[in-house]
Amino acid sequence: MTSPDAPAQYTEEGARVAAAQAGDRPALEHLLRDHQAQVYAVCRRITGNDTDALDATQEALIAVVRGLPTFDGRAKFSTWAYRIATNSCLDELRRRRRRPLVGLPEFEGTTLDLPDNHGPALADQVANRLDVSAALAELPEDFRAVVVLRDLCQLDYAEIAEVLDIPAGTVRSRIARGRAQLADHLVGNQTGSSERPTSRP
Amino acid sequence: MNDPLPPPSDEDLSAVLDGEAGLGLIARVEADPRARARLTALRDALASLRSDPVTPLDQKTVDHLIATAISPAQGEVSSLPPRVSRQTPPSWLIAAVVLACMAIGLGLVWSGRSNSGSATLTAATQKSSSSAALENDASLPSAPHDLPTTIPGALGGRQASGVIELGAFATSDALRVSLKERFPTESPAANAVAVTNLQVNRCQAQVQNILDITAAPAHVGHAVVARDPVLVYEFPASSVTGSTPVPLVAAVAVDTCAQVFTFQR
Repeated sequence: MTSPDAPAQYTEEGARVAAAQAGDRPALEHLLRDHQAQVYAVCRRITGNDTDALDATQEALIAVVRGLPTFDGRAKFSTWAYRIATNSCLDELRRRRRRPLVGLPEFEGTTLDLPDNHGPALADQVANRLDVSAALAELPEDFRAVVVLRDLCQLDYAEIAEVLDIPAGTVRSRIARGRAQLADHLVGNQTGSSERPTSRP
Repeated sequence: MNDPLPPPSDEDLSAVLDGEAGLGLIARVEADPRARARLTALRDALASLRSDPVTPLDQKTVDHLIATAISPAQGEVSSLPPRVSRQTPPSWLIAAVVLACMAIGLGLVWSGRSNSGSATLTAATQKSSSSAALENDASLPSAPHDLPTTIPGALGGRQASGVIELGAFATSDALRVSLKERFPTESPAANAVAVTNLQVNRCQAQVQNILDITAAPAHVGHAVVARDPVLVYEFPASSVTGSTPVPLVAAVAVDTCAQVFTFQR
């Protein structure tokens, strides 16, 4: 039975998931609130703009609700949520490719919620955010996803392999190549990564 | 004589960054000035990435996202039906259309009217049982006569009536903003809606299926976003957290019924 203040009763995620699976709506809402920020962060980084990130986040949260009855607890709930979020983002990117784009795609819809100050650091902050967004947007989607999951979400190789349903060796290779390209874009290294030694054939 | 080891690759350096490199590899990187410089560049790149956190969504947006995610459930979570693919019409509909086409084709041959051309066949097909049922949806009154379809590549059918022409927008954001406060109740003068009942009802059925909405839309609109035709539906959905009805607005591409955006007002 669910009391009106049910969310306060759940201290462990497992119990909250079980309650949500049993139809406890407050528990479900609590679960979504706990994970919406990480889902949105993944989506914002992978899609590269606020509008697509918001759409992908909405799709992901709907998919979480729909898929909850099938969640078997073998993976962490957060890993499962990352998997759904990543797939929603990749779907969103595929839809975006089918739409004509207006303006500069990598900055379309981008809003910079920076502190309201006018100090000298403001320009640097703006430049840095645009640099990072642009550098990430330059990465191929496969590389971008693994870099985001590894370096922002702190997932290990095995978890990323599970999220993306690819072998761990592929994860390792994509992370290395994604990071290399990211560094090239950010640092302005003129040496293309193709000229650098790699262990891939 | 042993061959000298190759310089550390980006994959080797990435392993060092993740703490997965053995002592031998770490020593090789330390001994190679170029590898050390490259490692520093990779570290700097990751530091930039990590020092640029994603701005969290505001509370109101989070509330909307969660309410929208939960609202289709309308009951026990565990009893939710599996999600339906938005790209594929139901198999029964495909089967019905195929059977209707076959029946009509046989009828034309039998009556000696097979020389009347593909246009007749197409028009007749659109009036077949399943399609006609969709076209005659009571929520959207039909136009009195068949009118030409104005969307290239779209399904044919009667031009929709009862659909508000919302205008042309450069981006989906602009359309979303225009609908933020209310749904227009009438089209600007002399603006014909370039969409058919069949298209309206096909996408409406998919949206209702995906969002688990049984109610008919209160408003239906048509817009053009960056030259792409879009259908917009406003459903009188209820809020999860309260009893106040919270309209749900869903915009989809006319040709694929793929979602353009969804929000609750």
